[in-house]
Amino acid sequence: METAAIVIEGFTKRYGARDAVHDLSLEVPAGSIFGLLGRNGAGKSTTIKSLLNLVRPTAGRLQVLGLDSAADSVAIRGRVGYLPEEPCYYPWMTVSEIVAFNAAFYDTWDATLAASLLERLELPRERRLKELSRGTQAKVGLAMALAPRPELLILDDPTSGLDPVVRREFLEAVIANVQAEGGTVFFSTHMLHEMERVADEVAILHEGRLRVRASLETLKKSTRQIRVVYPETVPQTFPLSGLLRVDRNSHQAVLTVSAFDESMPATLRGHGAESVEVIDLSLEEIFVETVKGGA
Amino acid sequence: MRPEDALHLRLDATSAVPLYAQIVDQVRALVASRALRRGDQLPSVRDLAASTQVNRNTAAKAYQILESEGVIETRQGHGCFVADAVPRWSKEERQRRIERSLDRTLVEAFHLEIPFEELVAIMERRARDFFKRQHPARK
Repeated sequence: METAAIVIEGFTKRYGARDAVHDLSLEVPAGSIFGLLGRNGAGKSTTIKSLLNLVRPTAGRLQVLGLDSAADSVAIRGRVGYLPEEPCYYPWMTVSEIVAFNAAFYDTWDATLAASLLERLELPRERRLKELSRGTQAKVGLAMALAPRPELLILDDPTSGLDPVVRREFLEAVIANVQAEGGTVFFSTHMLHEMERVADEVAILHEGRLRVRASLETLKKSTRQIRVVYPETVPQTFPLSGLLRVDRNSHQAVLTVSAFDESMPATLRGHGAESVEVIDLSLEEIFVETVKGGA
Repeated sequence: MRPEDALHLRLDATSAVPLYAQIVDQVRALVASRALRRGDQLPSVRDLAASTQVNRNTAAKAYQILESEGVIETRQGHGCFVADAVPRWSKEERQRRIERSLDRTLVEAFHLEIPFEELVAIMERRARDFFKRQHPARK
């Protein structure tokens, strides 16, 4: 299927004098795991809430599974699994009750899968939600988002504040149940280690604007560091474009570039470098360099 | 049914080596060290992806490569198994591959300024230990 699960075109959301999101355009390919990264307040949650018509755009268009986010929001909610950052359930309900309650909203609810998820995630059926820990509540939310076998799973920072064991269980359940079935996963998160393992595509939002959108593989190949050693003093400028940052000491410069290509080491040697070493960056390092450096 | 994490892979997403290549290398190493033997069953692509929390495409790519190299084979309806250790390449091709691999080590030794005699001594020692593990009956 070549279509996009999500299409966002020129999306802007203004609150008073400030744009929480400004002119955002991006597409999420069907069947991919797409990571939306950004600092707190970058506009990730606003974007996600707009997909689900919980926030109305100031400008632009959002489409989910080919449907308009505002006009067809009810149809969208029936086909999409959604896990918000702060799950808002009825705290007096038991796990069994909330599962039964949710099942009613979905044509595609799979009761056998729901039961198996409750068991697999070790969720206590007869306990009330208010009695459960944050991590367990999040797992209940996940089970309910997965049970309708959604074509698209939208997760808004689902694992923040959760311990490493729960985070692994989350990721495992998402991969086994959604990706394995050809579904799409749209994940906003700070958990860059997890994104690094699973994402096909990433987008970085900064202060409401799209900074980068690329496949994870391409991003890791393009944003790299080059450690250059000079026989005498380090030059003031370098014949490279896309420099995000330069760190100098007496004989060494570490250059962070956003569009690495294989000719750069040779160029630097031609420019007087004694030795050149290319350093790969983790997604976390790429993220930090991208939101702090450059234009 | 919990997928059995029989492979115990340790994957480092921040490494320069792509995840799929790490899986390929580690499965090859498991077969070479006899932790996995001919006929042993491997987890399905789906179970591997879920249990190691990696993208399903990553696991699928690794298995495709392992299958094309003759390390594993898929039996329709039954799963993935460690293949019979029949080499698929000619003697020349095998020699070429090992030469390329050794060249990489030689370049590294050069940069580390390891002298020839020391390098040969290290290689001999490692080779002996490795081959001893492959053929435990021999000394």
